[in-house]
Amino acid sequence: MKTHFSFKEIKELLPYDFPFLLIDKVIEIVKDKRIICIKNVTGNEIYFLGHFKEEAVMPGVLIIEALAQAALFLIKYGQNRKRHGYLLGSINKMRFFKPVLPGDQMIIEVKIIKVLGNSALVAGYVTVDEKIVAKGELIFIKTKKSNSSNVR
Amino acid sequence: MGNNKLREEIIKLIFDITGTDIKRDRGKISSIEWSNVDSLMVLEIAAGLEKKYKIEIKEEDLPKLVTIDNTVALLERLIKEKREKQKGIKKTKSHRKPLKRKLIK
Repeated sequence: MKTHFSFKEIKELLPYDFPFLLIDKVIEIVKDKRIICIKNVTGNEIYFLGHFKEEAVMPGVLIIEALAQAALFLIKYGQNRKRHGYLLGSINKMRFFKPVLPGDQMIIEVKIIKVLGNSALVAGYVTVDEKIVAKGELIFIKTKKSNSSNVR
Repeated sequence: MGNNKLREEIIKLIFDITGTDIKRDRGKISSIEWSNVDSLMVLEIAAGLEKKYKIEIKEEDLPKLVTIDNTVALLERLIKEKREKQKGIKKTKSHRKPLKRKLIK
């Protein structure tokens, strides 16, 4: 079974585009269990224009977003993607340990903890140079349609 | 594990997730539905209970996780089932041993 996905393939499955697609590559995926993705952070990222004025630091909320996008790829992988959309319902126990700077390669790992009814609880962490920079849990809620602008 | 100890542990876990002060609100939750728990928290509670007691909560049991009494009853049943299952595995193993010895002789 395929375990690697390119940027182009990720774009086909996820409803994101520039400047908001925060996953470059999927390097490992086990259906309904776990996923490992890569995001290469460059000095040319658009959010570095203002975060911060004096020094470029990756916004923590975008690290959460990268985790959410990796989780969404894992949840959607192998499902009928046209029928359902997903909303981020909750962010729990999120911790940031080190700033992510231009030149860093984020390794994003997410695993599904529990799926019940219309919601899924996932846990994930991000490492740079084998050190954890952020970790936490997210809950997604399944919705019926995926064409709403608010629905992932 | 006694019923009271289990109940206390569950109350603590639920309050850790819902973020409510355990001392102040304990009286409110005896057997009535707890008020500030939404469906997302129920999922968290289910995952927390599964991790702590190494059990599996199925989808049909979810509606039971809205009162302390029902949650304690469900947990007692699941823990009992888990123990019986483990005992069953041990029994079959111990039955095999004498058979092996006989064969060796």
